[in-house]
Order: sequence, then C-alpha cells, then structure tokens
Amino acid sequence: MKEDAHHSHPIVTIATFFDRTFAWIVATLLIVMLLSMTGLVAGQVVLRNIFNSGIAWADIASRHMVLWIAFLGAMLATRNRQHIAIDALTRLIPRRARNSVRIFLDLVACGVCLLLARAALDFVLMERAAQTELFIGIPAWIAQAIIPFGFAMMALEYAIGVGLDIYRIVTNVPGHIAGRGRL
Amino acid sequence: MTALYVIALLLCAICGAPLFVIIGGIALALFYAVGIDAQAVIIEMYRLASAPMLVAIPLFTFAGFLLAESSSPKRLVNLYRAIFGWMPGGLAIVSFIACAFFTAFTGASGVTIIALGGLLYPILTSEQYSEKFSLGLLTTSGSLGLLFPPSLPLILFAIVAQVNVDALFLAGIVPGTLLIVLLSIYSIYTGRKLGIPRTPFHLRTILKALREAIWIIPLPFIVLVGIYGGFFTASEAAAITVIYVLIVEVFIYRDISITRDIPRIVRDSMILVGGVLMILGCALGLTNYMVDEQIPMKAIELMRTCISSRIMFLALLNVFLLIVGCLMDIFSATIVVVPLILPIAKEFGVDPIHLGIIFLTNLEIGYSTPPVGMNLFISSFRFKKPIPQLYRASLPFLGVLFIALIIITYVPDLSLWLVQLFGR
Repeated sequence: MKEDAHHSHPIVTIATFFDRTFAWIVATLLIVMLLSMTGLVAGQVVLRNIFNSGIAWADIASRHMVLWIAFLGAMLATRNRQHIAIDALTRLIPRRARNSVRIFLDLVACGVCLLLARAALDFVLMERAAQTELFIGIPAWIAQAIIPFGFAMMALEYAIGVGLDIYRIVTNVPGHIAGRGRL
Repeated sequence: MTALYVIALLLCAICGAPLFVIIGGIALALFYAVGIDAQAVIIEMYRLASAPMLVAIPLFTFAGFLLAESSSPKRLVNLYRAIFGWMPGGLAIVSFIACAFFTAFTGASGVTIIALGGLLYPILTSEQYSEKFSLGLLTTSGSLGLLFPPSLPLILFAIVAQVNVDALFLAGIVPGTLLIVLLSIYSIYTGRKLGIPRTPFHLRTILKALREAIWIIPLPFIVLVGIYGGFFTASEAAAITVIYVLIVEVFIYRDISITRDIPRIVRDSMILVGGVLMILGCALGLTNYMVDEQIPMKAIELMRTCISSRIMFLALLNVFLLIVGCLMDIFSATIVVVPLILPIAKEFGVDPIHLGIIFLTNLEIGYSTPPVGMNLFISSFRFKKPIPQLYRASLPFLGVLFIALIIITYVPDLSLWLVQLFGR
C-alpha cells in the first residue's frame, strides 16, 4: 500500500500526511494516558498502605482516563480496521465481491458513527450548560468531549476508507483489498 | 420499520461489519422507535467512566501484551520443561500450563497462539509428537487459562453481570485446573502410545531454569495475595502488575526497549481494549432499552413454558453457548449475551458466579470449534496450515474439554467451594 502513495494524486499524498500525523498524536496520547493512569492507581495503593492517605480525585480521574483510552484505542482500531467483527463468512467469498461488501459496510459504519457523534454532541452541550465540575476545577464536559470527537473521527476514518477504496478500484490498483483502512 | 432496520443491521453484522456499529445502530433505532432522544445511548455509554473495575481492563491487557512480547514465554517454557519433562506426555503438559499462564494475563485474544505457538510447535514436533497432536494442542490451548485470574473475560463478566470480581477470580481456579488435568491425562496417554522419549530429571537444570524465570514466577501470587490479603482491589492489582512487569522486562531482563517496543505494544494492546470497550459502551445503551421494555422478564416467561427443570436449562444453555462461542468472540459474546441469560439463570436457581464459569468454559471451547472458531483461524495463520486440517487436529482435545464442561456445569461446588471457603 505504501508504494502507491508516491505516484498518486496530490490529495492522497496530503491525506496520507494528515492520517499519519493524527495517528501519531493519538498513539502518543494513549501512551501518556495509560502510563499516568498506572502511576495514579498504583500511587493510591502506596499512599493508602504506607502513608495511610490518598488523593481524593484519583478514582474519578482514572475512570475518565479509561473512557479516553477506550475512544483513542477505538480510533486506532478504526484506522487499521481492527474492530471486533464476525468476519468468518467474508473470508469465504471472492475478493471482488468482498470489496463491494466491505465498502458498503464502511458506509454503514460511517453513518452510524455520525449519528452517535451527533447524539454525543447534544449530550456534551447539555452537560456544558449544566456546568458540572468533575474534579479540581475541571468541567465534566471537557472529559466527555472525547465521545463526540471520537465518533466523529471514526466516521471520518470510515469515509476516507470508502473514498480510497473507490479511488483504488477505479485506478485499478492490482489485487486491491478493500476495507484494509490505512493510507 | 424499526424491525426492518434492525434486521438489516444484523445482516451487516454477519457480513463482517464492526460489532460496535451494529449494537450502537440497533440501540439508536430502538430508542428512536419508542420516542426517546438518542442522547440516552450516550448517557448509558458514559457509564464506562463510572465503573471502577473497568480500570483493570486496559492495565491487565497492557501487562499481558508486554509479557507476550518479551522472552518470558521462553523462560517459563524452559522452567516447566525442566520440571515436567520427565513425565510421559510431559512436554504437552508444559504447553498447557504455559498457555494457561499467558492466557490468564493476555485474556484469550489470540495472543497466546501467536506468542507461544511459534515457540512450542517446533519443540513439540522435534520431540516426535505428531503434527496433528501438536497442532490440535496449540489450537485448543489458545484459550486455555481464561478461567484463571486475572483474565480479561472474567473481569468483563463480573462487570456485565454485576458480580463480585474477587469471587469470580476464586471461582475459576478449580474448574480451570480441572481442564488442564483432564487434558494432561489425555496427553500422558498419547505420550505413552506414541512412545515419546522422556528427558531425564536433573535438579541442576531445574535450578538453572528457575533462576532465569525467577522474576516472572511471583506474578500470579502478587495479584492473588494482594487482592485476597486485602492490600488492594483488582484494579489496583492491575496497576501494580503493569509496574512490576515494566520493571522486570525493561530493567532486569532488558527484553523490551522503552523507545522501540513500548509505543508499539501500547498501540496493539489498546486497539484491542478500545474495541472491547466500544462494544461495551454501545451495549450499555441496548441493555438499558431491554430492561426498560422488560425483555428479560418476557424471555423468562417464555422459558418457563418450554423448560421444566434446572438440568434441562443447563443442557440447553450449553448448546446455545457453544454455538455463540463459535460465532462470536468472547468479549462481544459476554457483553451481548450475559444480560439476557443472567435473569433466566437466576430463575432456574443457577448461581451467577457458577453461571460465569459455565459461560466462559463454553466460550473457551467454542473458540476452537469448527467451522468458525477464532482459534482455528489464528492457528491457520500462525502455522500456515489449512483450516480443515486444524478441524481434525483439534477434535480429540475438544472431546476432552467437553467432558470437563459437563462436569463443571453439573457440579456447581467445583466453582463455588473456594468462594465459600474465603467467604467472598
């Protein structure tokens, strides 16, 4: 897949650049989140068992980090088309037929993610209006914003996937397998 | 109209659409049909941030992936070989224990076959185990050990069924051991029949292997003693495990490089975690709808008219779950199926903890069951063998596991006595 980026349309080249940068940012955030969550939770154990104290907001913070990890991980899973699916049947059908099925399924996925993103946006806007505070002055809606953002990005990933698959099929990239994701 | 939409989505699911999309889509459609705002789905999904146990999922998964990427599998296999190699079928027993150990930490996500298969397959065949036996062993062992703490499926079941995870951890130990013992007996029999040469018992080899694996051995005990000694919760145990594994693999064994390996391992493990949690998040909305519409109650009514006894219920449960197990992966199956069968099981007097063990044992077997068990595909990919060959190879092992399943299903005390002993 990498080679065809060189002699393809400038739009594809630009998209590739943004895709890689974005994936890098998501992966870096994941590492930061995962390691700080580990430190926070383990820190609680040490504080409680040795110093008999604790951080009041550690629990709520680590639980929201799980929410962020879930969506960041899901964004990467979408990009690599590694979401959990029942794909036993599609392995059995020939490549061309499978390509059209996969493009269609990506379209469905894109639509559902958009609907979820819109519902999540309404939810976050409501929470922002309610001005709930999560901990130490962090408003709840900021932590929740990952939900609409995550779904919007997943919808975008699926849309890009569909566009690229169609582009490659039209330009006759030999042996192209649709639904691989990844630029 | 809604029914059509739901059926269309289910068709997409069978064709391989991501399951979170299907579950989320169905939840949206059903809420829309009863005139509830789509926000309800998101409000339920936001409960992902309210379950303290969920913290354990990314942490244990990360620790498991770290272990699998290091040379710890090799160290453990060497140690178990030194200890069990003298027995007939010893190497097979070694494989079962090593696979179970890693699956407990990696959560039956196919990582075991990838990490240990490549290591054990050449050893098994070079010691004159037949290709068929070796392939069958490694394929079915890919999910062996998911009954042992702190496996991801146990944690997930505890969250979905709202049972105490500490109790579920204890409940899995005896049934998990039963699976290994029965498989070992079968291997001893096969080892004898094939006349496989045994390695002599050397105390010095054991000590050497022990020295090399000394840092990995304490892992399960840190988790168990920590939780049951009351020092920390299961989620905290996960964080301690991550720190311990990081120190051991990065600084003591130096198997894993911070700059080269850690980013990749975080990515790979969190892709799995993100996938599982996304399905869980979407399913929370769906479950909420089903409870509101009293669907479990209606299912109970229906069941009462066709099933008369507990024994019959358990038998049907096994058949149903074996089918589920070979169609779905263990995570989505747990998230989707458990809320439905839990109230019915309670109605027939099945303890939720016992139900968890039955459920996971079934899915463990379903994982390697033809035609579409996931282990078969992973194995076929890993060992470059055609799937029909793997069908034949795994059949005898599935037979043994099936016997264990029957025992686990009809002897609840096997799952419950450790729980009662510790009063959890």
